[in-house]
Amino acid sequence: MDAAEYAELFQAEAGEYMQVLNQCLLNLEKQPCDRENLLEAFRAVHSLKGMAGTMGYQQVTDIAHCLENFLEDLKAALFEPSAEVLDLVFQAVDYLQLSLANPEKSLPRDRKKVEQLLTRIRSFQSSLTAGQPKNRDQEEQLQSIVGETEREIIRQARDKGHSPYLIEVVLRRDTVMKSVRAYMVLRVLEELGEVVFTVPPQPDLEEERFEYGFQVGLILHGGNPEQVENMLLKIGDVEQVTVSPWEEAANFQQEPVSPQPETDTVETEEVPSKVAQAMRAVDKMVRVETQKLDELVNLVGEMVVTRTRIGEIGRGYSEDLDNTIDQLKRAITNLQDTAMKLRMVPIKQVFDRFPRMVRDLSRDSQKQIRFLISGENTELDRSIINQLSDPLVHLLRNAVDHGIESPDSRVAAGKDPVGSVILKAFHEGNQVVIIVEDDGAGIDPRKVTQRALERGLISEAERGRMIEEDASQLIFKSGFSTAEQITEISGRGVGMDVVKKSIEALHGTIEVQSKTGAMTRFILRLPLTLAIIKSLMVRSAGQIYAIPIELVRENVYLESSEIKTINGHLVVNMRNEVIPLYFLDELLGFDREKGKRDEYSVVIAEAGSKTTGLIVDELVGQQEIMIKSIGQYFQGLKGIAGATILGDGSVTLIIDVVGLFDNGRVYIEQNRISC
Amino acid sequence: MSKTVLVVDDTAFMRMTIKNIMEKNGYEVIAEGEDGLQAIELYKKHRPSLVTMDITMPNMDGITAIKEILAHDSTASIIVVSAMGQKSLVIDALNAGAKDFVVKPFQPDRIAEALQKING
Repeated sequence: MDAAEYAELFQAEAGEYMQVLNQCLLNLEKQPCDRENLLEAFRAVHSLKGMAGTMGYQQVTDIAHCLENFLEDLKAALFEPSAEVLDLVFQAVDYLQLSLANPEKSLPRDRKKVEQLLTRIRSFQSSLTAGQPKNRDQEEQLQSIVGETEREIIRQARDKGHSPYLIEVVLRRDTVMKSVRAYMVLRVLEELGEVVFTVPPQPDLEEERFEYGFQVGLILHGGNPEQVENMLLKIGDVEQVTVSPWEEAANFQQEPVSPQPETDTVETEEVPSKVAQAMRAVDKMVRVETQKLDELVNLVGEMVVTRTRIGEIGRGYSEDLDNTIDQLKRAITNLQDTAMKLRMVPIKQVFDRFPRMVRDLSRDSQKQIRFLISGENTELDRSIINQLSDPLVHLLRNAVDHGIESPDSRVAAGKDPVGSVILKAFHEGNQVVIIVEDDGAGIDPRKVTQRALERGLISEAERGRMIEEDASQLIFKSGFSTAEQITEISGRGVGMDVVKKSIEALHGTIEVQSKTGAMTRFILRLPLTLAIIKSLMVRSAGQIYAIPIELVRENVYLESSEIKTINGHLVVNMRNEVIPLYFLDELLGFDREKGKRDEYSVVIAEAGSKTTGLIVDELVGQQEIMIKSIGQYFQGLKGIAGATILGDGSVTLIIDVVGLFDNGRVYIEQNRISC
Repeated sequence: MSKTVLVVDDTAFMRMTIKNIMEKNGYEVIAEGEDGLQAIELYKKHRPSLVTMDITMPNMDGITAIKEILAHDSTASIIVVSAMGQKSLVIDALNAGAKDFVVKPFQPDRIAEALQKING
C-alpha cells in the first residue's frame, strides 16, 4: 500500500469516527450521564487520535488528544458539561473536521484559533475538575450507602462533640495500584478519627472498582480539616483533597428517646429506596473471571471422579472408612452443586435482545406480531447460553418471516390479524426446555415431502408412509434447505440442519411439532450444564463407553426369542412399541463378535423423538463423568461426543447417541442395499 | 545537611536506574545494597536520609529489612520499590512502616514526586 492509499483509508475511517463523534456529542447534550454514549465518543476520538498520529497529522492529533482528555474526565464523571463547555467542544469538533479535510498542512491562522480553543477547553476543564469532584453517581451512591447504622454512629459521635466530615480524594490519572493508595488514605484517616463509610464501598476500593476519586465519611476525633487535607496530600498520587463538614449529616434527627406517638417514629425512619436496596445487593456480589470459574468446575469435576474411585477402593474395608467416604461424598456433591450454580446465568441474557429484533423483523415484513416471552429467569450454564443465541435468532426469524402470515391472509383464514410468537423457557428435570412457537401457517407436509423427494432425501415409497409428524422432521435434514425459498419454513440459506447441529453440539435435542394452518412449535431440550454429566457405563467390544443418562430411557435384558427381524432389521416390540435395535460395536465400526447369545443387554436410548435400542455386551453401572474434549483430530467422529477420564485413570469415550442414530440410518441404507 | 540515599535492589540495572534518578534529584547515593541483610548493615553504618527498598530479594526480603531497620531507627524514611501486581506485598511493606511506594517500571518524575511528598 502506498502513502496515497493509506491516506484514502484514513479519510474513510476518520469520516466514520467523526460521524460517531458528532452523534455522541448530540446525545451528550441531551443525556450528559449516559455512560455508553460517552464511552463510544471516547473510543471514536481515541481511535482517531491514534490513526492521525500514525499518519503524522499533528494538528488532528492535537485536537483529538484534547477532546480525548475532555471526554475522559466526563467518563470518570468528574464533572457535568455545561452548555458553554459543550459549545466549545462542538467548535473543536468543527476544527477537527476542517483539519481532517486538509490534514497535511496546518494553516497558521487556523492553528492559532485552534490553540486558543484548546486552551479554553483545558482551562474550563481544570477549573471544573478542581472545583467539585463529586458527581451524580457518587451522590446517589452516597445516599444509598448511608444507612441506619451509619446515621446512628454519626448521631452518637455528635453527642460526644465530634463532627462528621465528608472527604473527597482524587488520585492522579496514571496512578498505579489505586487500591493501595486508597488503603493509605484510609489508614491515615483511621488514625485521625472514625471512618464511617466510603463511596464506593471498601470492597470496591480494594478491587479498584473506582475511577480516580472516592469519598470517605469521617468522624474527626481531633485536629482540624486543614490538617486532614495536608496529611492526605502527603500520600503519593493523591492529587486533590477536599474536606468539608458533612452538612447533610447535621439534618439527621435525634432518635426519640422516650416513647413517641407512632407517626413521629415513622417520619424519622426512612424506608431505604429501591436504588439503595439494589446497591446493597451489588455490594454482596463479587466479580470473578470466567476462566477461574471454569477452572473451579474442572477441579470439582476431578474430585467427583476421584471420589467415585475412592468409594470403589475403600468399599467394605471398614465401617469408619465407609462413613467417612459417605461424608466426603456429600460434601463433594454440595461443592459440585455450588460450583455449578456459579456458572449458571439466567437465560434473560439471550432473550433480552429478541423483543427488539422481532419488532424490527415484523415491521420489515409488515406483519403484526405479539411477542411473548416467559421464563427468562430460567438458569442455564453460561457456556450453553453463549451458544444459544444464534439458533434462537434463526428460529425466531423463521417464525416471523415464514410462520406468521400477513394480516390479510390471517383474516381470510379466520384468525386474529395479530400473530403470536412465543418464546419460553423452563426447567424439566435435569434439562432446560426452550420453546419457540408461532400461531402461523404451520409446515405444509405436502410441500415438505415434495421438496425432500426432489432433493433425493426420501424415496417415493417413504413419502407414502410418512405421516404429518414425520414430514415436518424432514426440515432438519441436511441438504433440505437452500437459498431458494421453497418451503414455508426454510429460506435465508441457513438450513434448519445447522440449527439442529448447533443444538446437538450442546448435547441438546430439537424437535418440531406443527399443525398445518395453525401453528409451528420448536422444542429445544438442553442439559443444565456441559461440564459434568451422569452417565451409564456400558461395555462393548471389550471397551467401556459412557452414555449420557438423560438420553437413556431404560435398560432391559432381552431374550433372543424377543428380538425379531423386520426387513432385515432387528427390532423389539416393547409395550406395543416397535424399537429398532443395533449392536453398539457395529455402529461404532467394530466387527460384531459372532455367536449367538441367549440374552442381550439393551440400552433403550431416546434422542428427540427417536427411540433406539443399543445392544451392548454388559451394563457396567452409573457414574458421574466430566466431559473432556477429545481434541481436533477426532472432532466430527461420528458417534463419539467426547472422552472422560475414570477414577482409575483410564480413558473412556462418551457415546454421542444422536450421532449414532444417524449412523444407524446409514447402516440401514447399506443393509437394504446388501439385502 | 546533604540528602543521602541507600539504594537496595538485587539487580544492578535497577540500582543504576534509581541511582541516576536520585542524583538528578539532589541526593547523594551513599551506598547500594543487594539484599535485606546488606540493607540493614549499610543503614546502620551510613544512616542515610532515605532508603529505596526492593521487596523481593534473596537472603532477606525487603519487608523484613524494613521492620529491622525501623526497629533500629524508628525515624527511617523508606520508600518501597515494587513490581506490578505485588499489591498485597506493598500493603505489607506499608504496614511494616514504609513511607511510600513506587511501581516498576517507573517514570523518573514519579520518583521525584514521591521524594517531594516525603520531604514536604
